[in-house]
Amino acid sequence: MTLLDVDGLKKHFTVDSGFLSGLLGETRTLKAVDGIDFSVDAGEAFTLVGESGCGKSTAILSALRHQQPTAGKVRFKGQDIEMYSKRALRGEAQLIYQDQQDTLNPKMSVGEAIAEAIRFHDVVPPEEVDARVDDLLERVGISPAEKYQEPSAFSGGQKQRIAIARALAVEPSLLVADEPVSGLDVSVQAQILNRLMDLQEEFGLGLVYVTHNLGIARKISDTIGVMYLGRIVEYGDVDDIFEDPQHPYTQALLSANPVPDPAVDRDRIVLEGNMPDPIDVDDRGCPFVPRCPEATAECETAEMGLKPFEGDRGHLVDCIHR
Amino acid sequence: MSQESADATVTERPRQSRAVAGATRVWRIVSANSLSLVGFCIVLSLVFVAVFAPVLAPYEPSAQQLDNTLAPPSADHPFGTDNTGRDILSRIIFGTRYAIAIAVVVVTLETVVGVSLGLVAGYYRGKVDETVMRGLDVLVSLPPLLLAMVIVTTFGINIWNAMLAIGIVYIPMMSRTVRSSALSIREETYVQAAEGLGYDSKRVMLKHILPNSVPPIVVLGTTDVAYALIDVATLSFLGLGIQPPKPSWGAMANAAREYILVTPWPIVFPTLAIAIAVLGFNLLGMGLRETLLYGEDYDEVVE
Repeated sequence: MTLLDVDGLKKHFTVDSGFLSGLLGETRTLKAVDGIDFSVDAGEAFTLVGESGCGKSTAILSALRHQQPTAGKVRFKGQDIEMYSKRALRGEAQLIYQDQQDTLNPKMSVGEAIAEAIRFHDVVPPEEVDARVDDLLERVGISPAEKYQEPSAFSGGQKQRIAIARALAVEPSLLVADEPVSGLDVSVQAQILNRLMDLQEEFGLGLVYVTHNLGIARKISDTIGVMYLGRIVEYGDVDDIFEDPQHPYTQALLSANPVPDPAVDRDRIVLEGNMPDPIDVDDRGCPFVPRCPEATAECETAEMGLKPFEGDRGHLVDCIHR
Repeated sequence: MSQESADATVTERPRQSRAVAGATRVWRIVSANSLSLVGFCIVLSLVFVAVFAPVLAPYEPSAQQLDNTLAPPSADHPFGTDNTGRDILSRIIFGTRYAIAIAVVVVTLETVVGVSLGLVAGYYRGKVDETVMRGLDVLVSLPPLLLAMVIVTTFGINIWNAMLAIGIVYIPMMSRTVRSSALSIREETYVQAAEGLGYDSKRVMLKHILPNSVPPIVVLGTTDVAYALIDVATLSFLGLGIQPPKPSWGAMANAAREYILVTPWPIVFPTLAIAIAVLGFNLLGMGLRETLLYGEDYDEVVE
């Protein structure tokens, strides 16, 4: 069953360019997300990868109405997402935040934080809440005896696991994790990711994972969307993308991913320049032109959009040379 | 809402151990700084005096000895007697009750109204914020004591109006303090997370923002008790507060004013009482400010 179906999602920000330009009516628009499509099925793990600032967080936040999108249709479980009340939607789709140090209210015991979520969404009858809290904490590897502690008593990794328990407490069908392990120790990262994957499988959750870390993306996802400047430039099965990347950006991105073997001889594709300021992006043509090793004159004016690659149904690429 | 009342019980520890833990916590915060420790002791003694006034006072506060007026301190009357022969010590002891009760009522009023307005303004921002804060700015632009006097004379001279008047005067400061912490706290990830869990704005404000803005509220509230004591005494001194024959420090000082050339004692002791009470709350407030707001080892003290 398709849980989340995003169609043509856009999120533009109007940039305040100063008092005088404001008077003259000049406004500039930052196209953080500029028309993306993806869908996530129940039990599927979908990852959005891309550099910082490519709009991957904004994409998922506006898809789930944490922010109001500029345009686009989002359907959740086949129904227009606008039809859901805030409470109903948050009960279905839960978010795990990047900032694990600060994601729990410092003045509330962790048990109470989880219990509050359970009660608010009426997940179980009141007399079962306590047992439920214990069960959830155990699942994420926190001793239920510690539930009276305030968040300051826990490490960053523990807090993130508690946050996962709290997200699962409302029994969502979709879990969104926005770089949940960045800033944590690598061993702790692995621990949390394994836990997340186990829980996803156990509850049959849809998972949307947002990261810039290709290693993580490969480990946890079924499908991947590679984002560049507010667009998905390549979309497909995780193995297709990692084994046979088509878009020049994906190829460059993958070639930059460290391989833990000094003997491996890598052909590193080094991109020139930085990602341009999304304010200055031209509407016409391919946004990757300034950095693309394969760019031709045609690329600057071509009509862009994801197209199936070599008739393969699942693998989509947004490049006119493919 | 039954949901709210259930919140406190299910996953919290039993009530009694929570009370003990709370008291220990208060003690640890107060004793972390010598200023607040001294202030706390003074405040505690004032409360003790207020509670046990009938036991501690040697005479009835309004018992007159017309053959022994304006007497200097002696063994019988340690602080002397006033112009109608009433024992000043006894009147000061009973006056503590009024002073403390009024100051506490004023600060409670200030806190309830000020915190609500500040939370709402800081949480909703935009138009709501502008409306609330500009309204309060109007209050601030008037001289506080003058405003209090206008309120009291307009609505009638009695102690309830005096408390109301002073409370209103203090509201803007409390609102501004709470608003500014609400503004910054609402950007914290845990507030975003609370919104992300679908919680309604009331729950986010009361359970997630408010508990995290307690320290500045406590500090300001404590210091304001001291100011309220002065203001109540001032209003009473002007005849707009507690009415004689009730023993109020300010009114006592006012009555003794006429006889200041005959004997200074009836004005010295009530004034000293005001000074000590104000000092107590001020020291407590200053110490708490150090510990709660600027303390480097705040977490060590509190956790």
